[in-house]
Amino acid sequence: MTTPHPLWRYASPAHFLPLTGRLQPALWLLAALGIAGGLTLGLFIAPTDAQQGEAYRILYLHVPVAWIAMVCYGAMAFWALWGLAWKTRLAFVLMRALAPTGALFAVLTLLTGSLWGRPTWGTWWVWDARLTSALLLALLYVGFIALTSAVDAPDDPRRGDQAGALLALVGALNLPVLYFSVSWWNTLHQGASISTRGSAIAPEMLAALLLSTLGFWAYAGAVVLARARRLLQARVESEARWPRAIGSLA
Amino acid sequence: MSLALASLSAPPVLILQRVGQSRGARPLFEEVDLALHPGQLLWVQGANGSGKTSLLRLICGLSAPRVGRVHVERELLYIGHRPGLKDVLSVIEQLRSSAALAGRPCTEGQALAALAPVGLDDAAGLRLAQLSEGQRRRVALAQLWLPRVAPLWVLDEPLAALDAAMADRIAQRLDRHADEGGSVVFTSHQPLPMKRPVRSLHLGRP
Amino acid sequence: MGATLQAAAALARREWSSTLRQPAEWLTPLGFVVGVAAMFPIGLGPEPARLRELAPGLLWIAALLASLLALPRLFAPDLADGSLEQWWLAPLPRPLAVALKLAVHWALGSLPLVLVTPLLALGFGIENPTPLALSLLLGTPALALLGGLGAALVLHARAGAGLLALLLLPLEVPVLVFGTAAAQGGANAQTALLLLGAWLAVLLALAPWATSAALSLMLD
Repeated sequence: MTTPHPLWRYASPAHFLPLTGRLQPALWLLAALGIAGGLTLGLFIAPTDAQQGEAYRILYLHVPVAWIAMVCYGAMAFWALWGLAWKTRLAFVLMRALAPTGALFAVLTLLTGSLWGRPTWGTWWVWDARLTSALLLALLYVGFIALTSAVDAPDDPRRGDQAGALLALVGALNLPVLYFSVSWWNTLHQGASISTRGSAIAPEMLAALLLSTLGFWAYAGAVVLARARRLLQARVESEARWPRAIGSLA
Repeated sequence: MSLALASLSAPPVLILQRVGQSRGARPLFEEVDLALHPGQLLWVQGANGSGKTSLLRLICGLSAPRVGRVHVERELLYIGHRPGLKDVLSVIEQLRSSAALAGRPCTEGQALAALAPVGLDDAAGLRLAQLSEGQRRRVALAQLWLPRVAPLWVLDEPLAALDAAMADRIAQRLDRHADEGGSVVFTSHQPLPMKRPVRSLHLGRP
Repeated sequence: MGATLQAAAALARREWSSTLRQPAEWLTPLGFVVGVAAMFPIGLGPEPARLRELAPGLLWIAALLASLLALPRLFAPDLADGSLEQWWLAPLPRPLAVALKLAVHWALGSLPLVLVTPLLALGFGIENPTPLALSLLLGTPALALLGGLGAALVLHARAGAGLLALLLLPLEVPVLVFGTAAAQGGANAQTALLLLGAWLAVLLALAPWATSAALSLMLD
């Protein structure tokens, strides 16, 4: 039997919990600094955009938040595949831990997108390719959470894990087709759309964007890991509750 | 006697190696080791919830064991707790359908002949919805009397909802199957009136 | 080989008889589409020009919602009465068994829609319902394939058609986009029909396999 790779150690709660316990304070600090720094720079110090005026500042929230919403789904699908292939508890725990955060960021994407569009289009919403896709992504997250909670049996997360993992994978495979079809649909009907190009990017803008992106990433990481730790601990406890059974041949 | 000795020397039809299963976090049974030879009958016993049905499903390949390995060397016929009975089908349609899905299709004549031992040959055209629970179970069990049957039978509670006369018939059929070199694994809450010796497997806490 | 064919025929015959003998199963989608189609003029106003413009999309949505109706009962009764285990153990490749089941389900549940919806289109003032019919002919099997996957995933869930709709609606958006574009006719219809056909081919190849993987996890 071959020796497993040393990184496999971290799949066991005994190693995962202490490691993430040490990481957490660093992540929270990074999050606080990044978000505070990025938003201060972006909201107060960076120059006004030539085309869009003050309203563009919502981008410092919208861009990182939209990006994280998408990557969270990709990460969910990754851990879903891992869990189905290698059947480790931790993979499914991470998959489940990502969902609420991803959902939150997807909804934030919708809100910030709407806020950004309001001064430009005059309405609170427009059915363009990007916002519509963001809405569908939010629905995919909600569907995942609804399915896993509807399938879960008390003390037995196995079925919920499997159903959720399959759904996450199917959704991930569908996403490219979804984005393509929605953007094709949008060109058909010549709808309005948000354009990000226009003026040059001042260095303060770039710095603000990078800082807030970093900050939000750290926040998402901290929240997801905290949730993963809680879920893993709960599973370990529920497994410890059952005494062993014995079978014998007479 | 010589038949019993001869059957032991034939290769086993079913091997379970250190098999363990759980339902979610709750363990059902562990370290089940078993080799079943042609002509042998195995009675799996245990209280409700001890995992008898789960063990049978492991043998059929419907679930994977948490630990251990299951080897099934011959084809098997599975008649479970809920044997796939469709209310809207007629008795004869149901029997032929189940036989074909089990990989052993039969003609209408063969199906009618198999319905006779279970006393349903005159009900062949009735829909299952019109039958009682015991009669419905008998439709499922009629498969045992078809001409071409699998060597290994896995039966979950074959006597459920049957009267004493029918239970005798089932036991006789199982005896005959074992005489002809077949094997049976079954669960039951009451002992079957068999002539041949029956091995026992107890699941659950002793 | 003979045993496989016999088992496949038995499965198809069993599904056909089961569904046909329960008229509610195949009458309901029809009634639903007609009912929903009637709601639109009542809700939106009977102005002919607007109805004619909106009809392809509205009828497509009605057909999509109708396709969701029968899904909760696609696999759940089979799981409950043990038939699922029976055809799981059959000498039949499981994706093929799933595909057969979906094919019968589509033939009895959705094919009538493909035939009736163009008639409804005439009622909405559309002179040539052929594009609509073609788009539904390619689109409803795609919806059925996705629906089967959804139905397998919710097998152990304690919720009904609502959860299924929530899961499936985002996944069915590409079918809706391509289908309605094809149904409108005109310049983009050809491309849309091709895209729809291509997506259907992909789903035909992948969905039965994914559905049987889901079912084997649910059976475990």
